[in-house]
Amino acid sequence: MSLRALIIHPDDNVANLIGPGGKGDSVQCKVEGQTKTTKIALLDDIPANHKFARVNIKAGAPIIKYGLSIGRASRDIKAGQYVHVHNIESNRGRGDLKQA
Amino acid sequence: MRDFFYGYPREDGQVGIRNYVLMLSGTLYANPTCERVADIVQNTIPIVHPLGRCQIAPDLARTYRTLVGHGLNPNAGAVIVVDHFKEQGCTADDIAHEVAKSGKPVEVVNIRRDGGAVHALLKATNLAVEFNRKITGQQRQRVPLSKLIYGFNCGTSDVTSGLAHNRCVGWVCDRIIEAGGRALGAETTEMFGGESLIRQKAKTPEIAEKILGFIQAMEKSILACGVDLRGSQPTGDNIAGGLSTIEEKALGAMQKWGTKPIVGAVGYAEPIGPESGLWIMDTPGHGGESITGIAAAGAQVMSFSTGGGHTINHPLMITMRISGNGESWEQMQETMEVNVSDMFNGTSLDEAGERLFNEVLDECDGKMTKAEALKEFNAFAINRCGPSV
Repeated sequence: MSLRALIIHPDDNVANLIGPGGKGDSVQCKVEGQTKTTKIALLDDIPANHKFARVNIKAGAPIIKYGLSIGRASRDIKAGQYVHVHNIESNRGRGDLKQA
Repeated sequence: MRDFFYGYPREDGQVGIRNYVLMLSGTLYANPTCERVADIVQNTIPIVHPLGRCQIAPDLARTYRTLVGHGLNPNAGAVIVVDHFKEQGCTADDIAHEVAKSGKPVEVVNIRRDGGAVHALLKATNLAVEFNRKITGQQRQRVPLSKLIYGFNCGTSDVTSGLAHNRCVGWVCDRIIEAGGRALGAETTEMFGGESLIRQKAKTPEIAEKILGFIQAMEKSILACGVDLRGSQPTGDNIAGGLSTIEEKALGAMQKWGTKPIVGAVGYAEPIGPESGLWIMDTPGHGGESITGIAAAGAQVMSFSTGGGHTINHPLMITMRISGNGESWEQMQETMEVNVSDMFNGTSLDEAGERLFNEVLDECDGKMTKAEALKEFNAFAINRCGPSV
């Protein structure tokens, strides 16, 4: 049985995997409310329900979930790669960053 | 879709979904009287707390407003306010005076004035029997859904929250607002990072500014403690559960808000206005304090949305619990009413949302929640804004 992922909003560039997935697994992606499905091969092992990239995301680009920004990419992310604290970061409460 | 429920219309225009006699404690020393009467007399609910004395003025005013709001909540058909002696600014006489404006039967029992703890208990017990005789002949009537204030809240959130159960709550908010009702959410701490969504959803810039002000004030009060909340948000549990940033956590929590505009914002335990739509109250993330503020504003029913499962239950505002985490459901279903974990296996939001909607409306008609049947009265907690003195 192929893996499935939950995508809430059509603008989202990340998807939540349903259950765990392994590197090389194929995931069927469907945006909720739409009928079209796309397939993405996972490039990493992914823990249950965690996120992966639906498309290639450039370093510094916003990470979109629920149709809104949940942070930005801290490095280039390829479609199918695991997305979490190692490659995205918050835009809020960043006392460590100098104000422009 | 149903656009009515069966409730108890009150003289002030509100509609109760229960017809309780409320034993309302004005101060901690009156708590045993309230609890004992509720134990002796059927259909009689105690509201007890450790406050009402030795609080600085703004803090005492918050306690007073919360207690008056509970007396006015339409799920109480009659109210007995119990006091120990007299605390200026929060006396049973003052509370009863405000509650009586609603037209519902109200009496005061004062332990000192009525001759001591035993005499007060006797008087209050007789009053509770008399009030039950007076109100329980009232029949439920069919009323439009526009009479409902639907409260909602969340706790013990995890990665399933924003994907499943919180969205069901938002779906129900939308349907209740479409029928002319009001939905009331809170939890300022869960809005950190959701500012862009608040600006999008607020009906006017003034409403957005008011809510952003709640967030700034709460951040300031946290920082005044000498700690940085955001060094620890999202929490270790959240990160292990797949939430990467505070924005992701906040936007997940705010899925409960549905798709309708925010029509107003109020301070803790303040009444909301008559306009149909989504209302937001300034409360902490603390579940008991948050839902108590919502009950004080007159909400008759509350959906509590939880990843980890919960027992939280307000004594007067009917509280039901929903989860989309199947494992939590298995462990905590003794006090959970709705399971939407099948959303991860293809069940649509419309289908799961309607399941919640139907359960909430059945409970409005009188169906007991599990925690109500168990008398799990664990979540009356008044928020404070000052020290005890």
